[in-house]
Amino acid sequence: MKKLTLKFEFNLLSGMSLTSLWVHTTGLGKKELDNFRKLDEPKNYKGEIEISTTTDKVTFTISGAGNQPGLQGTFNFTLNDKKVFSEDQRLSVNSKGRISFNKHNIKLPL
Amino acid sequence: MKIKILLPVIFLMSGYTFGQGLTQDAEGKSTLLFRGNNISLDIAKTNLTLGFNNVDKVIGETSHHILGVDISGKNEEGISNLFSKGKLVPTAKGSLYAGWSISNGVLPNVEASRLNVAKKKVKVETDYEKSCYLDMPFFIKVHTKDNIKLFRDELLKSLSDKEPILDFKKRLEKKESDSDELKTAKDNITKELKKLEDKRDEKLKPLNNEWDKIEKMNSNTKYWQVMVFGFGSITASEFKRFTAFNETDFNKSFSDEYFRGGSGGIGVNAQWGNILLGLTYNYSATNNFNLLTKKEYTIKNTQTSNSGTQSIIEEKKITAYTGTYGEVDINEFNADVVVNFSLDKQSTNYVLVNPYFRAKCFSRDKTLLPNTMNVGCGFYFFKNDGKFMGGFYTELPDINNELEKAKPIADQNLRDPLKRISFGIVGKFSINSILDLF
Repeated sequence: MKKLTLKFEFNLLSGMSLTSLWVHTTGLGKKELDNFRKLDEPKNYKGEIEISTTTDKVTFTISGAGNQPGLQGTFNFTLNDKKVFSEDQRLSVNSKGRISFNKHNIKLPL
Repeated sequence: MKIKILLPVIFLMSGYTFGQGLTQDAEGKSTLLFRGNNISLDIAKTNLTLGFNNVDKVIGETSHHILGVDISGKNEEGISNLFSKGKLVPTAKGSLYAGWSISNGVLPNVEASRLNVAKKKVKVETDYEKSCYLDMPFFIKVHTKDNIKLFRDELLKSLSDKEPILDFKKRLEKKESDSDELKTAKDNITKELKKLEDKRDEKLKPLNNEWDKIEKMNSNTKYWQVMVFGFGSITASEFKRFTAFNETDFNKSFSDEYFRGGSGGIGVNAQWGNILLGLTYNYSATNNFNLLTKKEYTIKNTQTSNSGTQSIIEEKKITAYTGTYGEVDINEFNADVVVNFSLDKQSTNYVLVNPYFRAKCFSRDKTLLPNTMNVGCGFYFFKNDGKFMGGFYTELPDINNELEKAKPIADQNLRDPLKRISFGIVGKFSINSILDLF
């Protein structure tokens, strides 16, 4: 399978925390997720994730929690310096205190 | 109905903008722990607080310790007297808290289910790639003739070298179709590859549906977090007190009081979806400074010359507190509830509604410091980008008029509770937003 390294950048508000990040069939490890939590505001976090795939359309799933519904942050991924999402995507804390982003068939800029 | 309106406009400068210690009572306190490191300056109360904790970093953690320290300095005389008259009644406080936080931020069955589905997806993709390596060479040979041998060999080599299928596909797409034969072969091979892709996608579809169900279950499960902590603090303050008239030397009518107190207790902070709950109990060694009456004294000293024709009057102004003063132990029970509501369908604007309760009870000396109960409710507005727009609170202090009842009958001013309601406005600016102005 083709190995691809995607770079990501998250901008979260204080009170927002990520608990899970999956791209296609790869989940980010606990150590990397803990690094999110160690940040003080502004929670600007950059990192990368290596995925293995046979397709250029993949799934992005991001979960988390927040102490106040309504808090909102943004993120984007890049592959070979090209943006995966043409516009930064929003992450917000829902009324149940959860952060949830789940989209399939996102075309990678190969 | 006469409502007493107080407008202590409070400007809190902080690196954080909302939700962390934003809600407060008339004394600027909350049972909800401030989340994250902070510097706050309450200009109205001349109170500077520095706080460091990891509370913000345990959100979503299944189980984690919490630690924090707060240091504050305050002038009991307030800002106006500090600047206009240089009066300073200093109070310093240091507090520590430590505890444990648990939450359902990471649902164990969710992560395990995701991992299970991810493994199934990996198997589907691996099988797809294997079938490409097995089947595609046959189709390539069927669809290519010897006059496009170079093209055929290139594709066959790519497959025998186990080049990732994504690269193989790209190689195929990039190949220039400079002859009809090549174009036909390319189209046919692409179609064969597409058939294998479609088979793969058919197998991935139910797995993606399963993935969505897991994600839906995760996002629909209310997030909860419970933090249990113990805390302790020490307080130091000093002020001048009028003790009694000293006929021989008026200067000796005053004494400097140095108070050293402290408190210890336990607290619980909990979140359930959009509801926050804070509860604390603490046993405090405190004093009744707040019940003393502040007075201005002027001591005049007249010196007359030997001839008796001249005199000089020396004046000394003293600010001191009068009343029966003493140190008292008391129990405090405090509670806050914060409910978060969206104000519009687009979920852009939010309001926090914060009913709260403060009780000082089981006073060891009710004549010095009576038991009191305060209730109030705050309303705070913010936008989804974290910008705090403002808020206000209204409080009914000392519901049963215990403080007034403790005074001599002649000095008592017992009023209906509704006539004693106070009202405060809270403004808050982040340091970043202020720096953005320059």
